[in-house]
Amino acid sequence: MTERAVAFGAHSALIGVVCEPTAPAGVRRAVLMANIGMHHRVGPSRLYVELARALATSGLYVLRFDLSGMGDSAPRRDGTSSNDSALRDLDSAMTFMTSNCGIAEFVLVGLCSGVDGVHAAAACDARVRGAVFIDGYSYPTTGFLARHAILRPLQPGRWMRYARRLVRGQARRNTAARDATVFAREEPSRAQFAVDLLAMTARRARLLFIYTGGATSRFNAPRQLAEMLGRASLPAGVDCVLLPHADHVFSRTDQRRLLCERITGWCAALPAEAPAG
Amino acid sequence: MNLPDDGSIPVPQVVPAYFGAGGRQLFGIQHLPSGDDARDLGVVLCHAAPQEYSATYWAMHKLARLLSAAGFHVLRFDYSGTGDSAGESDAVSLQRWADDIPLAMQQLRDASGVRRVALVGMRLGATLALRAVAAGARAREVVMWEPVISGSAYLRELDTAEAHRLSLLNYPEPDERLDDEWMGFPFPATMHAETTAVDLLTEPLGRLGRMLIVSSSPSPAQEALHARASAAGVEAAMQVLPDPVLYGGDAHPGETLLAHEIPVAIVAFLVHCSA
Repeated sequence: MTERAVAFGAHSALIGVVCEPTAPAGVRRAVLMANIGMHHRVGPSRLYVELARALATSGLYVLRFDLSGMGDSAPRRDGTSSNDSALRDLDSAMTFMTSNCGIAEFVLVGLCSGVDGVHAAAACDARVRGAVFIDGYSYPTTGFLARHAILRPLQPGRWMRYARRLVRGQARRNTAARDATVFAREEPSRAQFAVDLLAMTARRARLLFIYTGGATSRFNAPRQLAEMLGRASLPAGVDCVLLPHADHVFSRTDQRRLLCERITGWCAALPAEAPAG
Repeated sequence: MNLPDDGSIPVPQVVPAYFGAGGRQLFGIQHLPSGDDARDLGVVLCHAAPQEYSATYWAMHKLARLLSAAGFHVLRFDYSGTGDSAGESDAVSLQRWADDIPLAMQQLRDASGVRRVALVGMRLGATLALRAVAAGARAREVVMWEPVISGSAYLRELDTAEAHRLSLLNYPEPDERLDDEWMGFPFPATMHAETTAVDLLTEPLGRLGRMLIVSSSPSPAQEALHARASAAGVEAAMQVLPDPVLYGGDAHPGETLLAHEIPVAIVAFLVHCSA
């Protein structure tokens, strides 16, 4: 595995690192990871570095990079909205890997707000062979609400921490409200999400949804994904995994390792045939 | 420093590159100076340790852009086993990080042609910069931004920040605390021992010419370091400026975008040094 610093896109404004496998897999594919929110391309706790190296060791090419205006990449000056900008940046990244490494099939990985661009690209770009959504979109379902109502009071740690806060006189911080004012996002409606997902599967793109324990307040069982689609089971080619012991940014080494194993194994099992246009 | 009327900072041209030998590939971003009049003093930025890297990343990024706008060649780089550099996160050591700094200085000299290089260190990066100079790195000017002066005090701060971080985790339940991981990164026993041993009030200062200590809150340890450097013949200055706190449990990555007074003061100091 070797790592190479690259600048690509218009005016070479996008900055990234290409991980090249020593022994490329039979099917030449590249995994693309764009930065997450305020974190630059290494990811929180260096998550994307570890994941990229694991994938490259398994034979895949990987490009980690900063979206326009984030990390070391220069901002766009054309007034493009953030979602359109991410889509254009991903397009530039795929074009670069095609011309630079001869790769035409791609797997996109997104975490949290990083899923916005991945979702948009997977919905419309035939080069996307697979997509991994980590703590991506979620919508409350009847099943979710029932599980939430039943399971939440049964967590002893919640009561203990609530008691500790009362003793300390510590008001609970409403971090979600604070963050919402700073990190406003445009998410697709539940109906649009279902339409997009089915469009992705219709051209045989493979999809992996991973939710962490950090997303428990909005996603609490793998079956919720099928519920979100109004189906009894997931469509073919769609997998969903819950990692209940991981927090949202994978701050524990063992959980980062588990995530790397899950994604690397899933990528290795991707079929070789080209997707339908 | 001449900035546009709207207060925006020009976006410098950046050059990403790996440097160093074999298995010790370090990643660096060189910010090229804006305009035609590049200064002959280059600046290497030494990041904080991984536990405080994200919280301080944007402040260092902003400083690099301001320095570039003022005509400096700048290199930001990642220590071994951190950021984009080679190495695993659990195979890190202070000694190795300090040894990385002269490699980064040489990279900046080779890439830019500057003859003199100054160091700016953030938090533990300031400690490492001073140690690199004491070990013979050819930098006459060092800026210490919120420096870690006592390793044991720093460990207590990290411990508090980690406890605070865990207290804010609603899911999953933080039922256990790992002894060898802090703030999302491995913290091996060797690193713990090395950090405990840090005491800049007793360590050699090397052939330092000028030192600026700058922070957002006054500290007796910083005053003591300032006094010690002055007594040793270093042209030392200390400034306390009203910027947000960038590290610790209350730090939020977005708030580092607000760092301004300190980066501007650092640029002014280095402009003075380059004259």
